This record gives sequence, C-alpha cells and structure tokens, in this order.
Amino acid sequence: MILKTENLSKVYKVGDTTITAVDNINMEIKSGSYVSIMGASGSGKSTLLHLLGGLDKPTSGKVFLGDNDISQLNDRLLSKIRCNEIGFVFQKFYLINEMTIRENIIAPVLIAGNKPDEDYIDEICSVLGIEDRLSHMPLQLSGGQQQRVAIARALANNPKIILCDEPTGNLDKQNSKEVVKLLSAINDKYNKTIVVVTHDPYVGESASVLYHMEDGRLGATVGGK
Amino acid sequence: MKSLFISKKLLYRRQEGRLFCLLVMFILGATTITSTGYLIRSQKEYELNKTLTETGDYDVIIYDVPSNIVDEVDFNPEVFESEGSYLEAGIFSSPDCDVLFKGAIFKNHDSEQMYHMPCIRGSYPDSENEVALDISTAQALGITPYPGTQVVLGFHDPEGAIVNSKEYTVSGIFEASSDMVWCGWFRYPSDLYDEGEYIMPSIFFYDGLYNSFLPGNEVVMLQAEEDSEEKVLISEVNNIVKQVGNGAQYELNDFRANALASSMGILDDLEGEYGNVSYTSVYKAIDDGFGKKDFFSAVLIPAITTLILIIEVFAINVLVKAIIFDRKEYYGTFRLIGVTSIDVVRDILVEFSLLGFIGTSLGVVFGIILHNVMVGAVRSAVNIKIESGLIVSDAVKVVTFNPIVLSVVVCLLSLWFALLIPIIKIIKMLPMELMASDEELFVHRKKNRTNKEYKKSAGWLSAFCRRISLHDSLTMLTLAAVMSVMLFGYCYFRAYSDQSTSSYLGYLNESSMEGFDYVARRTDRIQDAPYMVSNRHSSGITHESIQVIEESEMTDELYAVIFNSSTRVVFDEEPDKELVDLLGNHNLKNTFDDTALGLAGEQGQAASLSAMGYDPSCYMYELPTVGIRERDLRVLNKYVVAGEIDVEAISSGKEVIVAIPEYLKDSALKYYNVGTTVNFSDVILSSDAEELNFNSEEAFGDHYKVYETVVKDDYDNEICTIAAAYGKRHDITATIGAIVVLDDRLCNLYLAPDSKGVNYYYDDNIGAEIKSTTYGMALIVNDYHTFNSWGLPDSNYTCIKATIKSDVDINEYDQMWYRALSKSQNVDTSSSYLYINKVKSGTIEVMIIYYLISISLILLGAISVSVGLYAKVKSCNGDLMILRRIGLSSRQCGLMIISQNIYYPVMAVMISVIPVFMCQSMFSFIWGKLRSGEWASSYLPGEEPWYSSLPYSKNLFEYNFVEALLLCILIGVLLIVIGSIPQIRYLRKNQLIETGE
Repeated sequence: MILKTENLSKVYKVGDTTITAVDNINMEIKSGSYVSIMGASGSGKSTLLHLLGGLDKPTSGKVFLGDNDISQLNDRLLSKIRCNEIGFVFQKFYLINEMTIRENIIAPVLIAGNKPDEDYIDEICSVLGIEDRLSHMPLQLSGGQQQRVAIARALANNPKIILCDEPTGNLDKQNSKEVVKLLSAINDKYNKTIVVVTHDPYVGESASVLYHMEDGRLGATVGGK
Repeated sequence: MKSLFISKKLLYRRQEGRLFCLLVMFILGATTITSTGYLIRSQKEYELNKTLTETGDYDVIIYDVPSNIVDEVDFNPEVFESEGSYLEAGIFSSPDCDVLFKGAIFKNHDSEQMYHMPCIRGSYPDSENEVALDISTAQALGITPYPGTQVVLGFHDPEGAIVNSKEYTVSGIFEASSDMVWCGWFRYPSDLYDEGEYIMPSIFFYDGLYNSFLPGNEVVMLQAEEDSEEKVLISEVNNIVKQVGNGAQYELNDFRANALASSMGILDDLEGEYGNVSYTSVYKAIDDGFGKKDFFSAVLIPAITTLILIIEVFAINVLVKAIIFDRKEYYGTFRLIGVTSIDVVRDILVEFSLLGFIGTSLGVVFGIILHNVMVGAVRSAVNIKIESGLIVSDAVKVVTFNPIVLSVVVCLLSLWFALLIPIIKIIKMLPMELMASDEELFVHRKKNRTNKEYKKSAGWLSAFCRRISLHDSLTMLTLAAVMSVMLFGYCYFRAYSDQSTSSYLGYLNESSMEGFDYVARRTDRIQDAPYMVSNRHSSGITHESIQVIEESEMTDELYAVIFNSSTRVVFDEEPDKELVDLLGNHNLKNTFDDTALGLAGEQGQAASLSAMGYDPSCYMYELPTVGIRERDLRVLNKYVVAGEIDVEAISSGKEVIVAIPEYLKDSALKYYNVGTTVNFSDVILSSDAEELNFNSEEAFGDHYKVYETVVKDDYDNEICTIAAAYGKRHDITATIGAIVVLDDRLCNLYLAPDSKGVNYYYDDNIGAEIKSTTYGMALIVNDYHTFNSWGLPDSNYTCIKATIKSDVDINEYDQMWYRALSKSQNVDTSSSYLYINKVKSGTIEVMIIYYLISISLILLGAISVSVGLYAKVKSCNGDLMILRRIGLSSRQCGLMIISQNIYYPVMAVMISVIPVFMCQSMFSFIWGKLRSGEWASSYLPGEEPWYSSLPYSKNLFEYNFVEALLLCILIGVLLIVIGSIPQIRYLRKNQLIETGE
C-alpha cells in the first residue's frame, strides 16, 4: 500500500456549529493505482485529499505514506514529503504568474535543493505537449495549457503519487478530456499512483478504482474503468 | 438604514491589531510633536531666563526709598503691572576677611522672582539662620561656595564698627552675572552712581527678617503694564520719586526689553518696525506676533512634523486599506441593501476621525507627561533649573509653535491624506465590485512580467526572490528617512550644541586653564607701577591647602609655584638687545616723553628708585625667581643642558637654575653660563606697606610720598604728579648651578604661571598660525626654602594647577577644592567645573531633543515598516502559498523574507550617509569662502547672512560618526526584524488549503 488511512476524521468548528468534513475514513490505495473519489459539493472529498497530501492536519486518525504516519509530522518534514513524494494538481492551476512556464515546472526541484534533470523535464513537457511554451508566462497560456503545466510541475520531482483536486473544474469539455487522457497516460507510462477528487462522472469513471463520498464518509468501491 | 454601522461587531472581526496600530500611530505622532514642542519652549524660556538673570526682570528700579514710607507709595495699577523690593540690610563682613559686603532681604517671593537672580545651587534662605550669596563672595569670605557651609557674618553700624556677629548656614549660591558680562553687572546703576560708589547686594537673608532690619533703604522694582506708554511710565515714576523724596532716584531697565526682544530674535529689527527698543515696543511686537523663530522652531519642528506626517500618511494609508479591504464585502452587502456610498464614506470618516481624536488626545497627554519627565531628568542630570515648557512667557509663545495645535493639525492632515485614495475608490466602486475578492483593488502590487530566463545554476532562493519581490519602495524610503534623520540629526545636533556652547569653551580658554581642570592664583591688587612689588605676603595658597588637595585621591597632578616677579637685575649701561630679549623685554622703568608732564613723571620715578635704593639712571629688568617643590625640581634633571641640579645648594640659596625656552638657549649660554655669579635684587616691604599693597584701595602716595609736583598738561590743565617709594632694595647673589631648556608646557608652568605664556594666533598676512611668547629667562629655586635663605619672606604659593582623575565626580572635587582653599587668603580660583557643567547642560539641552525625536522616530518607523512589509507580503501571499503547497517549508519561506528584507537597512544606511556628506560639503564650502575672504566673516547686526546660524566651522564626521553609523545600522536591522515578525506570523497563520479570505 502506498497510501493508507486509519479512522481519519476532520472536524471544523464554525461558531457554535461543528462540521465533520471527514468522518472516520479507513482506506487503502495501492501503488500504481488510479483512484478517483467522487461526491457532491461539501461531501468532504477535497478535505480528504488535503489530509492525504499533508496540506491539512486531521482531527483524529492517521495517514500512512508507505509505512510512515504523516499526520503528526512537523512542517519541515511535511514540506519535504509534499516536495519529493507527492505532486499536486489543483482546479485553479496555482501557477506563479511572475515565473516562466519552465520556472514553474522546475520550482519543486529547486525547493528540494536539486538540479533539474533537463532530459526528464523535456520528456514530460513533450508528453504533456507544452515543450514549445517553456519560455512563456502562465497568463499567455490557455486554461488547458496551464493545467498541463501544473501536471508537469507535479511530475517534476518524479513523485510516487499525484493528488488532483478537481483538475478539470476550470476547463471546458475538450480540455477536460485531454487532461483525463494525460492523467491515464502518466499512470500507465510512469506507473504513478494517481488520486483524483472530482464531481465530474467522466473524470471519475476514467479511474481504475472509484470511491464515492457522502457527508464525510467513504462509500464502497463502486467500480471504475 | 442610514444609521452608522461602525458599531457593528462584525466590522471589527480580526481587526483589533490593525486598529490598535492605527491608534498607536496617532499617539506616537502626537506624543513626539507635543513633547518636542514643549521641550523647545522650555529651552527657549530657559534662554530667556538666563538673559533676564543678567538684567533683572523689571522695567524700572528705584533706589534709596526709605522703608518706612515704601508702603505708603501709590503705584498706579494702570501703569505698573507688579512691584517688588528688597531692603538694604546693611554692611557685613567676616572675621576672616576684611572685604565688606552689602546684605539684602527680599520683601517677598515675588520680589525674589523680579530681581531674577536664581540660585545655581540650593535656594534662597528659608530660615533666619540661612543666607544666600554668590560665588565670588564665598571666595572672598574663604568659604566653600556650596549650600551647607557655615559662615560668620558681622553687622556693621554706620560708623563701621561690628555691632553683632552671627553664624549662618549658606542655603544657596546664586551666580552673579559678573562672570559673564562686561564689567560685572548690567544691573549696576551706572547712570546714577560712579563705579564703586554703589555696592551691589551680595548676601541675601531670610525674607522673614524683613521687619527685624527696618528701617533702612529699599530698592523698589517695577514691571510696567503692557499697554502703558513709556512717557506715562516715566511721569508716574517721577511722581513716585517726588513722593518719596530723600534723594531717591530711578533707572529704566531697557535691558529687560532687550532680553525679551533678543529672545524673540527681533532685537535688530524692532527699531525699524516699532521704534526704539523699549518695553512698549516689545509688548507691541508680542501682541502682533512679530518674532523670528530660531533653528528649533524654524527648521527642526517643520522638518520633524513633515517627516512624521509622511510616515503617518504612509502607514495609516496601508492600515486603512487593509481594514477597508477586509470589510469591503460587508460594505458591498450594505450597498446592495440601499446604503449609499456617501453613507459608507461618512462612516469611515467618522470612525477613523474618532480613532484619530482619541489617539491624538492620548498622545498630547503622554507628550506632556514625557516632557515633564525629561525636564526633571535634565534638572537632576546637570543641576540646571530648566523650567517646564507648559507655562512660558508671551515672548516665547510668539516665536514657538503651539505643540497641541501642531499635533492636532498633523493628525488631521495625515488622516485626510491617508484616507483620500481609499475613499475615492470606495465611492467609485459598484456594490458587486466591492463584494468581489480581488485584493489587488486595494493592495497595489507591481507585476514583473519579464520572461527572461533565470540562471540555471541558481538555487531556489535566488530563483524565487528574483520573481517574487517582497520589496516595497515606500517602506525603503521610510526606513531611509528615519535612519537619515537619526544619523544626520546626531551629527548636526552635536555640531549645533558645540556651537551653542562654544562661548563657554571660550571663557574656559580665556581663563588660562591651559588644559588644567583647576587653577588657583594669588590675587595681586596693585598693578599700576612697573617696578611694583607684588610678592611675599601671607596671602596666597598655603602649604596646608596644597596638602589637602594633594592628598585627595581625586587629584591626578598638582603643580605649585611661588612666582616672584619683583626680583630684578640692574645695569649701569644699557644692555644689548640680545640680553634684553633674553630677559623677556620686561623693562621695569617707564619711559617718559619730553613734555612737562613727562618730565615730572621721570623725576617722580627717579625719586622713587632713589628712595628704594636704586640708582635712578640704572637700567632695570625683571628677572623672575620661581620657587618650585623639590619633587618638581628633580624632574627638571632631564631638561638640563649645562651643569647639574644640586637641590641642597639651591635650597641654601647658593645656587640657582637658569630656565629658558628653547629659542633663548644660545643667548642664555652666552650671558649666564654655569658657574657665573648672578647679582640681582628684590624690594622688601614693611608690614604696613604689604597691607597697603594687597588689601587697600588707597594710593601709596598718601603714605609713602617721596615726590610731588603740579604741572600743566598740553591743555593747560593742572596735573598733580605724586611718586611713592614703598620698600627697600635687598641684594642677592647666587651662582648658576645648571641651565635647563624647558618645553612649552613647562614654560607655561614655571616661567609664566600667570597671564603670560605661549599664545597662538592666526596671522592673516602670513596665512599661518603664529606662536608668540611673553616670557624670558627665569631663575628656578627650591620654593620657600631658597627664598627664606635669601631673606625674602615668600612662603605661600602664588599659583597652583591641578588635573583630576578621569573617573572623579567633578561636583565632589569642586567642593573639596574650595574647602581646601578656604585655608588660604586672597586667592582667586578658576575651575573648569562651571564651564564644563554649562557645556554639558547646553549639550544635554540640545541632545535631549534629538534623543526624544529619535526614540519617537524609531517607534513610528517600527510601526510604519511593519505595516509596509506586512502589506507587501499580503500582496504576495498567493504566490508564496503556491510554493508552500508544492513543498516550500515555512522556514524556507521565512528565509526568503529575511534575505530580501536584509537589503532594507543596507540600502537605507547607504542613503542615510548622503545628507551628512552633503551638509559637510556645504559647511566646507562656506568655511572655504570665509577663509579665502571671498565672503565677509563679519556682518552688521540684522544683516546676518543665511549661513550665520549654521555650525559651518564644525566637522560633522568628528562626532563619533562610525559609532553613530553602526548604531544606525543596528537600529535599521532592528526595525526590519520587528517589521518581519508580522510578515512571518501572517504566513504561518495562513492555511495551505483555501478557506476563503
């Protein structure tokens, strides 16, 4: 298992109201698998993804990356894991508009204190079809292209896992299909574990394992491709 | 709907910190301006008081008013604002001192204030056993001029007999203005009395004794009403004098009007604008607000208020924008439900104005408290009675800003300027725009759109810093401004205080201290005859006094000499010029012209010389003999150029040492070689003559007349010429045992312990500094031992000079010095204490204003820089959060902030040096022009050039510049560290996941 949760919960307090975003979830994700988590807005799927990626701390329970419980790690170790072990793709792309496409892609490599592997970077850019856009600025690219850059950045440090939060949420249908295709290709070609959170059935069903989430609880595996 | 919604709690959610910062900004600004403003007023009032101390705080003074009728005199309240008086209590003396002093008693405390001679130590008497006196009186009485000293005073009856004596405790010492002004007293009624005819009061008794001394003569002081004309005043005073009768007479004190006009900076302009300088014209000028502001009010306050205004506008603007940004969704919602943009703006204005009002009010209160604390600190630090600036005279008000008004104006202006742009934006924005979460609408962010590639070898820090700039030019400017003001201010204020206290250093130089901290000299009263005898008297510094001073652990070095300037050599024939030069050209005989008067003078001189035992036709030159202590005699061994020093032979009077400066060495060896016998002489006085010589103003001619004639001068006036002889020639013979060549320092110590010595002056013709000497050869002997062996009665020292150890409390030493010298008679002492204290207080007065401004600027700068950096990091938060999500740790984030912030103090320091350089260049330019004569170095009063008040002769880099620069850097770093804390806290608090702003 590359990712595993044990009794994972996340509770928010808003005023006097308590909201349980993630409610006692136990799940296991195998290495190299392509998992999607579907659910309506407010079902807690994004919160679960944040917990899996170490972006947020659980109220209770554990998150295992391999054999390591990452739920109690400090900021420095969590940052290191986010940099080296996990790649993130977000709905809003989150590219830095002041940096070129190339700089955006290699940012995690620089943060890790490594020198970019130019061949590898060229290869993933070629796979993602952005090799001729490397000297551009993000705002000069279309939404679909920006999301490809975000995927390239997620792959830059050659992580084991790619976590995607509504990766097609800001894209039109055509670009959504392209992104889904690319994620499948990455899963196949580089054997990366991919976890996608989405409410788009098309995106969800493209995964090999499909979870459904409702009111913070994870339903049974409902199939997949 | 239209009601204010500023009370809505939701508006203040998460804003307490920002609102508090805003409040603190207002408080700090108002505190700085208020306390600085009042300090400047206090300083100005102190200056005015110092001048009034020299003149008295009255417009008219009436002398010789019998005390039994003074209460019956009708002082017209329409002409006179207030009145005061002191009773002349009589003449007093002390058993240890023959000098007579006038005692006086103030009628009441107001009279004491009007007389205006405040005590520099202690206070005027509070009980009947106390007296207050001035320093010179204490010296003459032979007591320590410090409160607590006991003194016995005897009251003289009109015939001069002492009728009763009583012991008093000195309660206070007032500084008679005589030390500082021409001829002693501005107050001396020179229009009414001849010099010396009137005795100024120098001892003041307790007010409560006023009735016990009655009746006597009173001196009445009057202050005129502001609107009374001078001629009316004179007429009223004449009426009073007529009422009083008995020879009462008055004097107008125009010096008071001068003092007021001078403190207002209009002494030279007043005449042109309002007529003669009189209290009438000065009061008119005060009424009209006609005055010239000095450096502090004309330059410093405007500069500081402008700087505070700029910093406040910037910081308040950033804070207001941040507050409004956080609230804009609420504002948008209110707008949607019908509130107009004007309502929103009105509420914003009311809210922030209220905050400004509270902050400024608190700031004014804090400023007043701070001012009082600082005044107290100055008082205790330098024992200077600086008054609070809260209550000052009208003359001071005219030439200074009202600190409270200034604080309010700066607060209002800074608030309005800061709110201007956010308010315009609020008015222009539609409700939906307000509800949108585009933070760049309120937080300006410079876009860096270049796609130039970064260096491939660069690490994450340089790659990210290059793209994500956290620099903020306004913050940089603020920091640079704060540091520039601090560095430049320090250098300039030090130079300014140096210039403003230079007069005291001038007095110090003039007092011939020559680097010594304390000097005491025997006073010589007779100085009108070149062949006078001024030595050998029981007066002078006793061995007992020297022992006390030398045994004090506080004394570092002590030199003592008995300088006998009346030993002389005589020649039958005129000596050649080289020998005359060797003898310092000190010819003891007068040269007379061919007139009848000159002939009488020559005959008189001849009669005197004959009677004293000298051939009238001889050539007589001074050959001083200098007695020094055995310890110092041995030190001279290393200066010997011929022979050797035999202390025993010198003590027995058989041998002497010839001492000369380097340039007279050859001449000395030519005329006075080792083994040569020197024949010289002195004049011995009878005890009566000694008494007359030292302690009497009487002419010798009345007692020892040897010649008298009446001749007519060129104008046919009959002149009586009298000559006296008051001693007998006493011949001395000694052999020269050694010759010593002394350096400048020893020459000043041994060859010229009085006013003669080495002088330096700038010769315009030669264009260089010239050294001049006024002494020649002298014979050095072993103090009183040698003189006794020769049969001369010289016993006490004529001059002692002391330096004190560096860690000594000068106040303590001062007291010890006076205590020790109270055992000696007819001694005048100069100490660097008074001058150093004045320099110190002058420097503190100026520098405290600088320190106050600096502290306020540091605090203001800290808030402003924090706010600026916080706003900047907030505007870059999006990018930083992206990097955080993809693995940038918070530590790396902090490093990124620090690596960029560190440039601020570095850049700011580089900028801050520029004003100092520029100012120093300007000073050098002015100084160069003056030295070259291109610009006139003197100018008429009222026509002062623009640079006249600048300390252009000073070097700004001389005042611990490196240390000041380092301190500036440290403060800059501190400000940035403080400024970085909110940045890092903001980033730490931020969640990596989106929860909405």
